[in-house]
Amino acid sequence: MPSTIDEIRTALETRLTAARDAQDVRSAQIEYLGKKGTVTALLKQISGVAEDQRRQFGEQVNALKQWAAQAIEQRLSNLSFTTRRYDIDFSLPGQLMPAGKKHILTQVEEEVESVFLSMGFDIEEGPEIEQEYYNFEALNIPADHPARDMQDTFYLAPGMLLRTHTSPIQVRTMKRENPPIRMIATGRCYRRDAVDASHTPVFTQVEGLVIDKDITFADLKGVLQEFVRGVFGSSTNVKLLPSFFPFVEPGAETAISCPICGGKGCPTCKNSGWIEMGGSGMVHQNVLQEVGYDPSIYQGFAFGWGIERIAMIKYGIRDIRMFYDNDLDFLGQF
Amino acid sequence: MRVKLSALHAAIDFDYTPEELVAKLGDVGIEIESTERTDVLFRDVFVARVMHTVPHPTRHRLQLIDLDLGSRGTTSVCTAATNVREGDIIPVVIPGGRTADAMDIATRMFGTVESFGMLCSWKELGLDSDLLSSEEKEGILHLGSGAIVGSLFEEAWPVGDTAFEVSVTPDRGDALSVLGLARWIEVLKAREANQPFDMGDIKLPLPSALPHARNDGDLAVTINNQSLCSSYIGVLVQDVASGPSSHAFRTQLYQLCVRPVSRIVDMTNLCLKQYGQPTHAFDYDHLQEHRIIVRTSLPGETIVTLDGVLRSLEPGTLVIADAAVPVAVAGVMGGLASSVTATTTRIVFEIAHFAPRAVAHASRHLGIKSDAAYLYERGTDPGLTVSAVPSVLSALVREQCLGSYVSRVASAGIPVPSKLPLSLDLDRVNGYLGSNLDTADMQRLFGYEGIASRVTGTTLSVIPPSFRGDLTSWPEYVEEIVRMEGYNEFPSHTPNLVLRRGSESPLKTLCKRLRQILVGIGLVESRTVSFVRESTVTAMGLPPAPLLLNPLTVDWDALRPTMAVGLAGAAVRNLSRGREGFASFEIGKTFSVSDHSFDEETKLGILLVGRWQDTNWTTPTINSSIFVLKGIIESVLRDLHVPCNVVSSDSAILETGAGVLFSSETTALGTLGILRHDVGVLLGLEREAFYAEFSVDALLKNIPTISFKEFSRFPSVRRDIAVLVDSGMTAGQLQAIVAEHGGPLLKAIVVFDNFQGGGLPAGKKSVGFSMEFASPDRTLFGEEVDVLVNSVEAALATHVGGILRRTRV
Repeated sequence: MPSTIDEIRTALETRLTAARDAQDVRSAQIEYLGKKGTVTALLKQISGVAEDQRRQFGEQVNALKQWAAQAIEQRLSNLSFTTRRYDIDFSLPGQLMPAGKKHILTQVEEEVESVFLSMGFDIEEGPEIEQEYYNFEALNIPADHPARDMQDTFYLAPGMLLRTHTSPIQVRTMKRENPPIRMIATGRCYRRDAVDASHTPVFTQVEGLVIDKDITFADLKGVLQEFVRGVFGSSTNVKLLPSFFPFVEPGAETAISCPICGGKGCPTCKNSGWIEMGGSGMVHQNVLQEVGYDPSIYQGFAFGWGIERIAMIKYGIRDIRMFYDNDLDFLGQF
Repeated sequence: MRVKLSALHAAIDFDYTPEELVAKLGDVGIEIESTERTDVLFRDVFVARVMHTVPHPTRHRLQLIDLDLGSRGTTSVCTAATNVREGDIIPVVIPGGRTADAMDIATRMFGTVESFGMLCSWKELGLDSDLLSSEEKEGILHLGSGAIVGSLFEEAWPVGDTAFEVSVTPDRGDALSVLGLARWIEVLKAREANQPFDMGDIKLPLPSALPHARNDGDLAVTINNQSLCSSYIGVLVQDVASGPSSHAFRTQLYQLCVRPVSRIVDMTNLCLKQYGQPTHAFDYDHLQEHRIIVRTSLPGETIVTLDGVLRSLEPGTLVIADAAVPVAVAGVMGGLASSVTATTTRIVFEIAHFAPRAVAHASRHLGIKSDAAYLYERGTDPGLTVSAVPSVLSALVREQCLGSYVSRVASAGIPVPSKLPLSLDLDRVNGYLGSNLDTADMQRLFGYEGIASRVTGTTLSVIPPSFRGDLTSWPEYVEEIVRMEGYNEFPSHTPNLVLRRGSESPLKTLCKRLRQILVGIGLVESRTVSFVRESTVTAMGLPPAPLLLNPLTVDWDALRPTMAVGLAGAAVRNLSRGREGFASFEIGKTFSVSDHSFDEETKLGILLVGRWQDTNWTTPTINSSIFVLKGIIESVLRDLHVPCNVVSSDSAILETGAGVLFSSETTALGTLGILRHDVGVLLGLEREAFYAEFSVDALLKNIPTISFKEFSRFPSVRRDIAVLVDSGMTAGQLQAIVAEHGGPLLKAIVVFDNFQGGGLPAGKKSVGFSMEFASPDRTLFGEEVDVLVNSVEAALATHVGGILRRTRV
């Protein structure tokens, strides 16, 4: 162990000269300037030196410390860094990581919800076992109305059914809240349709409703346009076609420019450039009256689209049954 | 509704291609679901009259037929057909010609006899067999006497046409006929030409004068309930001669896509299809006192309908009765007793207008679906009832020689129910549409549809034509403005709304969070149908599930009380497709029923079967196990910070001793365990499966609020110990002792070993714990940790007789 300042300096110089890499320099740094290092030990000795020599010794030790720190930094900067050589077969796969997936319908549902949440819509919910009143009567579909044939219904008891659409949530929300209303609802619906490539008795809908004093048909178009662009991309357009749904008037079928061919015509859009997505319209006066809103003051629009339909168009899925088959190779694709 | 292009051309002039027509009608809300084009595939087929038939000289199955081809002379053919007689008018394809099924025809020898062509059945002509009567489909096609001998077949029969399948929404009853479609084509033309709608452009006979009507002893009509039946006309026809319709009439039916049956049925079908007006024929001699009374049914009344079914009538059902009993359910179906039979000589045709709701109610209540009811429910034209159709029918009777004459027309009711004008305020309309129309625009748009309007200041007074029963309130007129202006001609802008954030329920947020956690762990989300088989639920030992009154199949006759059935089904499908394992979850509603009240709850189900972690060169295979599942659940609960106790579960769907219940202080949260093997087998799952089901609603109630806790920033000290204990001792019991005696510095305990067998004594097991000690404010000395470990060891020895196997620093 060198004992004089000069010896220490010389020894450190030798160490640093001999150092081959950063590791060697860092060890020397710890050995001399670390908590238990040689220089640190000298610094601790300063207070024990006789008073007449203390100042000189202190200056020498501090100079040494300064010099050592500089010498180490300089040596580090002068090192020629080189890489170590490996020979790794990167064609080998990495360690397997968990590969969970949300169901594609969940992904689409959440995407739709996030578009509407960003526009200040509330997300409402309602029961799947519903009263006939909320599912039909309150929506201007009285008993015996031929519109009931549009939605073949599962019954659990007289007056109790599985909701055929998410529209009863509109009614429940309007009965609970005063206008203005700005809501969507997503959820499972049921229709007594035999299973085929485009029908399952269980399906998912997204329902929208906006009610205020001055909501217009033009607003409906504007909101649908935002919705469609949020989900299908900013170049997608909306077209409305006359249609009939008992709870809206005027009623419209909504078509979007085919996101697959960009509206040029392809098998998915049957060469029309447009794809029908779902119903919409201005909320019927009878519905507003039924929930206790004054139709001479309040007006608004509603729409209801199928989540499966959105997913099918967006991803080119041809058979609706796949959503409920839950094949891992299908679910893993999205 | 199916109809051919030629029938529309016969009703109105237009020059749209079929594709254009489909697009244009679609733009005004009439959807053509499909179009089917049939081309003329045959060549050189002529209409011929059979002059003579003689048997073939040597071949007993053949006949020689001499044919008159009019201006084309005569010819002769050999045929095996058996339905050819002298005088018949039939189609023949001559040499050089071709049949629709691509057979080229040449002169051909049959024995010693030369045949110059071939007689044709519907097949050789490529006719639509759905639109032919059974006689027309048997052997050679017979054309009626109206067909011109010597003419080309395509001039005698409407071939080479396009059939449209029209699908209309429930409010578009006015479009369910050729007349109705012709009116909409007129609307399209009017809009294109910027001219008002003109009924005069419709070419169908629309006689406006009602034949002389009397209401006397021969036939008396009475309406007792005017609100359900605005008008009723009976047309009495005498000396009825049965038989098939004429050639010309049959070709007309072919264009209308109506299969001919008999003169009477054909006439009623024509009125239905051509004019959208249902009609019904009664046997006049089976109407008591020759009276027709439109009334509601009385308690206890019944009727045997045309289909032979005895039906009890709900009191108040609108019926047609004679002097004694109901003879028809109004607008739905006639009665068997008064129906027309082969012996009928006098008939009464009914032309009426019934209220849609009356017909709809009776049709649904009795469970009868008929073409008439379909039309009446959607609204027929009360104007047409009293004008055109009775006259059209009378004319048809004469043309078709159905009866000697029309002797009486009896009627009751108000001819055309007058509609009150409705006022439309310009500002209200513009405020509804976000548009900037003026009264002239609105008047012009209404004019295209034949809606009469008068302007007073900024108000329009509008009256719809009689066939537009759908126009009853002002928003319906607004819809017509939109329809005529074009749905896409209106401006589009986003609403002027107050800026605010959208919200969702805490339950929805929790569901999203659960999905995120589970997907991160490596589970795939499934979505299965909510239906199960009731017998499966019973066999699983679960409480009764809500039953569907009208299930699609017995396999789906109840609502799921558990997620296990759907997830097991998904597992079975995946395993059968060669997957090594299935690890999936579903979040959704489960259902229960008690005392006739239904309940639904949001549940999380997780099912693991077979391989949990796939293998590759870095990663060993891990199979699903009860502890993989427990790890998943612990991970979820840790993430949600839900504190819970674990006790053994008595869940009906888990094996005994292989299930645990997680609960908070007050509520059960969920269970996990090994799925009962017999339940698995019932669901098609033979392999060992691990199942957890948690109530998301219950989890939500138990999520605590999180606040910051101080943590140690000093190095911790780890000590491992292993003890030999009785194998009945649980890890939990040992852990509790370790925790109690480790003192406040004991930060964590991990069970790193749980071993039985090998060199260990029988009935004993070795359990190893790793203990981590730390202080929030200083670095610990090894010696003080040793003291704590000694205390733990001593406690284990005292309390459970544990023998220290090793202590590792």
